[in-house]
Amino acid sequence: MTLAEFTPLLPDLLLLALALAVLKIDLWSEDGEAGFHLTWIGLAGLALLLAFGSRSDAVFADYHITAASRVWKLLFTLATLATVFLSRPYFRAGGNARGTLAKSGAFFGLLLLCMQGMFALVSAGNLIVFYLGLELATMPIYALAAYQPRDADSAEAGSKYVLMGGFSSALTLFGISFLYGATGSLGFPALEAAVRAAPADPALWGGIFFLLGGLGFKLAMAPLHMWAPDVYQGAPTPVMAFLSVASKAAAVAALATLFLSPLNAVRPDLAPCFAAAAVLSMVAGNLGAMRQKDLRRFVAYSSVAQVGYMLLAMLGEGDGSRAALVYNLVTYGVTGFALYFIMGVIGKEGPETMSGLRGLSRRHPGLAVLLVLCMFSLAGVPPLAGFLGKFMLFSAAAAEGHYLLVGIAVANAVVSFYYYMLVVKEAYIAPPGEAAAIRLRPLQIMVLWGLGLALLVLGVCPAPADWLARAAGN
Amino acid sequence: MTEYIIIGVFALVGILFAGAAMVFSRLAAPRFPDVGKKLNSYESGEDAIGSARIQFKIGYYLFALVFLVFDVEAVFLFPVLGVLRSAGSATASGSILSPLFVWCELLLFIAILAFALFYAWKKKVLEWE
Amino acid sequence: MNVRDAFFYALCALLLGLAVLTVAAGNLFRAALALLGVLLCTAVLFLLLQAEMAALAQVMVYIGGIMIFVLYAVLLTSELGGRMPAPSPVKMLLGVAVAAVALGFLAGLAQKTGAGAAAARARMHAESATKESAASSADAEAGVNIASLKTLGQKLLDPKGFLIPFELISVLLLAAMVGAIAVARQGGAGVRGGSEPGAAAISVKDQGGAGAAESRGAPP
Repeated sequence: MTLAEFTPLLPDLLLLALALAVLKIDLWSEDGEAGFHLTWIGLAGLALLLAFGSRSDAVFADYHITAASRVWKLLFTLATLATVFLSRPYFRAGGNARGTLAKSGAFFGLLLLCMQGMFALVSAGNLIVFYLGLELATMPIYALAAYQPRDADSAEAGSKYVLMGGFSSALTLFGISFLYGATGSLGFPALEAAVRAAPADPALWGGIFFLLGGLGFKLAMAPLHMWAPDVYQGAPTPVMAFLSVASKAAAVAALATLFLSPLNAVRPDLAPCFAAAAVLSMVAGNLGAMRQKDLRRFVAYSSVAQVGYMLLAMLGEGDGSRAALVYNLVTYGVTGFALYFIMGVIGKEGPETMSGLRGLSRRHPGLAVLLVLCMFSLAGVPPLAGFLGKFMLFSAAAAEGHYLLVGIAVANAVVSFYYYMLVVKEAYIAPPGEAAAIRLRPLQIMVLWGLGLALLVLGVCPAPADWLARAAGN
Repeated sequence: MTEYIIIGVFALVGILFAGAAMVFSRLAAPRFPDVGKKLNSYESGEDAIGSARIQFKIGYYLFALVFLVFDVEAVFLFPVLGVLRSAGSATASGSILSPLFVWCELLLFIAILAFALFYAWKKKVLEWE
Repeated sequence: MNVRDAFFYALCALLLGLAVLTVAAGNLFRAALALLGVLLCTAVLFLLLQAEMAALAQVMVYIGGIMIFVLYAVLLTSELGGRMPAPSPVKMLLGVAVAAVALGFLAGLAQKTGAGAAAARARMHAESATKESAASSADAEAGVNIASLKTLGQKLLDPKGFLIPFELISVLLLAAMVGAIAVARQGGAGVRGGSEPGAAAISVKDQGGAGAAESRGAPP
């Protein structure tokens, strides 16, 4: 073992160093300014390193640095970076009507540690690293969900997420023990060989059953999604953003890591299972989202429906599915953060609810347009980002002949259009109160334009999708 | 295996010894249970105030957590420290590790957890009010 | 039946009795103590299987750490002395049904594994040409106990073994601690005063950290 062999691990090691540095700075300065700047500069550097750095692959026994894992890591890094920026006003006195968050240093440190877990998850080459990554990617969020000081809802969100997370971790671990018993090995290559050799082993199926159960909880896939609305509503908005984008991406990545490579051989047999979960998630998410008044609950249900669409990709063939998943997560992330940006702006004075959006078209027309773009993208209206994402998912499933399922998914997408329009209706048609006009700072206006353009470009221009497909495919 | 059997025998003898002492004192001692304060719980001669079942302070909890973190660390250090001296030689998978490399691995593990302790200390978790 | 088997069955009977007591005890504190007995019996069971590391983790982490935590959690609740309300008959039936299904599944699996294990194992090792399983099968043939402290220690330090999980564990523990401190000492007001709105959450949260830690206790 020479030092040169460890250079592909550089992003992971740098992330660890960054997390430790942010926590260390937290011990010196209480105001958290230095921690914030270190975090975002570090994350931006990491993103550049992942995007343009070394392309060499490295396969240790239990840690695989591949092109696909780099794409996932880039996705996690960008989602965390966006969360860090989003959280900024929530730590300022008067930045949010719900109350000011404290302890920004630990907050950023926990986000980075969480990201370390996600990194391990997508690089996992055996089930132990997989499990530890999953656990590390979940555990900091237990604390983050309860971050709103002296807030009963936030405390409830934290305790609910702990219970659900602990239960799902136990299920996952139980499943892993079955897989180990069935195959006699923890490594993915040996696992793959064993699955090929004896695909009908009941112990193997017991393991897969429990694993799917555990991951289903993390993914908030119906019928295991009950925790999501309460946790999303109770958690502070930046944490909800992290949960719904980065953490969701990590859960999807976990599913893809296991079922698109070592357990690929059993995926055709699992198709009815994934199909049922997909339909249930779409229906439960869409029905739930219609009745919501609170924007955070609304996001929760809408993300359950999005998980349903993403599960369609598990029915397609390997490489196309992975590309569709990554692209869909990117578009969902951009759309999501655009919505959370609007929530952050209206949350400065009022509650982050539907009624808080009232009269947005008069208070700030630009924000209202961004909201419309967001909702259209979530509904999958061309030519926005969400459309291309959905199209890739649907075509991945259709390519394998699941036409009925794709039909159901399209019908659900049409239904979802109804409640996404309800949000737009609040902003444009509902009678405005006496709320004053919103003034954005120049930086915020730049973010607004950037997000709006990204929503359009990701939908119209196929180049990013192509690049992701190429990078994530091999 | 034998050493564990010895431990098991010791545990058994210990339980029997304590149990036998209790049984004998129960059989041999005269009993007049209803006289005076005999049924009160023993509090070093003082009268007991209130119930023993009170709500504990939340502060115990963080102490217990810090303890648990280092407990888990110790569990993993046991097997590693046992082979540290011989780790330079060939391992199970046949790879040869330099002693320096092994030390670096161990140092990283301990350093991260030492940082955790330092963090807890600086955040005044170790202070008792 | 030799001494070893007799000991095994006696141990299992004790374990099952304590497990029933854990769920059936009306008082939370007694349930916790019964659970402690269950964990101790499991540790002895691990020793019988020559899984030293698992036994060590069981005694140190579960009995030494987790149970302390559980007892603190019980002592922190105000309803300590009271008896827990008995579950409704429907719930009890449901619980028994779930347990029966799980038992049936595991029993079926055990039977099947006992019969076909040797053949499957042989087939698998022939097919998987990876170094790792080759090494472990070589170990098994040489009679090396793959669960002994020594082998495990070597694997934890070996980059081709469990080095990365080993280092990840320390990061995980750090995350658990930072998270717990951040939540328990919210708003700078400190952790005293059990009547804070966050107090209820704190107890559950830390238990979650413990739950995470306990599942880490026993690598294969």
